[in-house]
Amino acid sequence: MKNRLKILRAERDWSQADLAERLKVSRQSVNAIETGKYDPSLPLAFKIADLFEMTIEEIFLKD
Amino acid sequence: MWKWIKPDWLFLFMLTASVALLLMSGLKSDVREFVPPPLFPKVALLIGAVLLLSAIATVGAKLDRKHLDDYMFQMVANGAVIAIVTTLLVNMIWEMGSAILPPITRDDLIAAMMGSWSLGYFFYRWRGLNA
Repeated sequence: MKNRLKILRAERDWSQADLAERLKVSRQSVNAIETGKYDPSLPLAFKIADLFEMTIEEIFLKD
Repeated sequence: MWKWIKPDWLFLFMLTASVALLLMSGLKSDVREFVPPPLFPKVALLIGAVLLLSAIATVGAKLDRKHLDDYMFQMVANGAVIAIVTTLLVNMIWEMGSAILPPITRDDLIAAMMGSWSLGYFFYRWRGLNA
């Protein structure tokens, strides 16, 4: 699964640590999601979508 | 290479513990000189222990639930699945080859479990959970 997390984060000038803090996960988790090593759970995907005020489908894309 | 595979303290600790157990288990044997007569049948004791311990482990695991979304937690949890499967396979292979293989002790099995846990964790860390 691909995602636009890195772009969205950069648009807001947030570091991985900033985003991690907002999502209440570790910086490694954010890095793993961005690099495609890890797909977030549905609750976390919703949390990310809420944070960026977008739908899940706008952030996460099928391969 | 080091930066690429990113080994960390958890991997190192679990692997060291596994190797230490293996080395120490070479000095011991599961055969005991004196075995006291059991108060309860072995099966009943085992079932009771498994029920109690799994209930305690389930309650204990609840404390970790807030970390469920954490990448590290997911790697450790997925590594544990690798450890369980590997330990079962090691036990099965040794059972099947008991005529030709040297005897294996409980400590050896624990060492195999911890070793495969650390390796499972390492492989997931290296390749990611989606690999």
